Amino acid sequence: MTEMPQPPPGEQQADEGAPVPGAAPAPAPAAASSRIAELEAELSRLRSDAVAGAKVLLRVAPPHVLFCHGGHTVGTAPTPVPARAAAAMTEAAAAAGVTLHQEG
Amino acid sequence: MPTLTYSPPSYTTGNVIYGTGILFTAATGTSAPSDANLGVGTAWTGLGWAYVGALLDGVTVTFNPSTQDINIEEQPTPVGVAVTTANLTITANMSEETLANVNLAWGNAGSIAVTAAGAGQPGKSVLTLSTTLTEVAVALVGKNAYGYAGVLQIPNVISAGQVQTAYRRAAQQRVYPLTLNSVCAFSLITWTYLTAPATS
Repeated sequence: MTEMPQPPPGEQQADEGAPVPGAAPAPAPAAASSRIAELEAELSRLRSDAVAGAKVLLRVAPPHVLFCHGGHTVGTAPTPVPARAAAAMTEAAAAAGVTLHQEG
Repeated sequence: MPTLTYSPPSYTTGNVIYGTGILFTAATGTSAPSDANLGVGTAWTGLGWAYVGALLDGVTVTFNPSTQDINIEEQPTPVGVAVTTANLTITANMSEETLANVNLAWGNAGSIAVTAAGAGQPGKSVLTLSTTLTEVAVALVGKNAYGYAGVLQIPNVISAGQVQTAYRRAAQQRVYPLTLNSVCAFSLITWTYLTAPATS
């Protein structure tokens, strides 16, 4: 019968499940689920971007502060809009007397 | 002596579902929330979906195929039935009068320009109409037999229906009828039923 090697005195083997000294503490369940929700939302956004394709940055010129067309909304800050929707958006803006600027 | 039994199958009352549907629309190509968040309203609106709000009498989903019987002389019943056209339509009577809803009911063709209030300038929103109907994505969220979200998603619909709104003193609120006709391949339309939470 072979004898199992014993750890040197004072150096106990860590129990399974016991915190390992120096390791980062496991996140609380609530924090973990919140993080999962954040990552899922980010994934959805990335999927949306992938489907929508290339984007252009548009912004509304004063005196207007917001312009909505075809489900897209452009504000005074440069706002990403799917490139395929930009032409229709610009045309609709011109028809409505709104000036849109393309950035970059 | 043999006996004759009558033993009908049992039915499931839990599968008899009722309750309102939540109607969201968005620009085509907008993605849906993750599976776990399909029943969370803010998860939809956070991704750019617009909630149409209160409705007069709920949402109606209509599947209306027209078919052509394939007949032969040798038999009185058709040997096949082919679908010639198939319309999937979502209709609702929107009770919330917002310019976004008016625009959606009137073909989603217009645009809304917002001007902030300033010195000598009242704040205003102007809907400019158009007849260039614009496609939109639609999602109808309801509670299924499991008590979770059941989602009908149509990636491309066009709002094209007669819209008649009565301005009445007291008889009824102003209602904006909405008719969304699907204009995408049927294979792109999905029903998703959540059946159980994730295991971890």
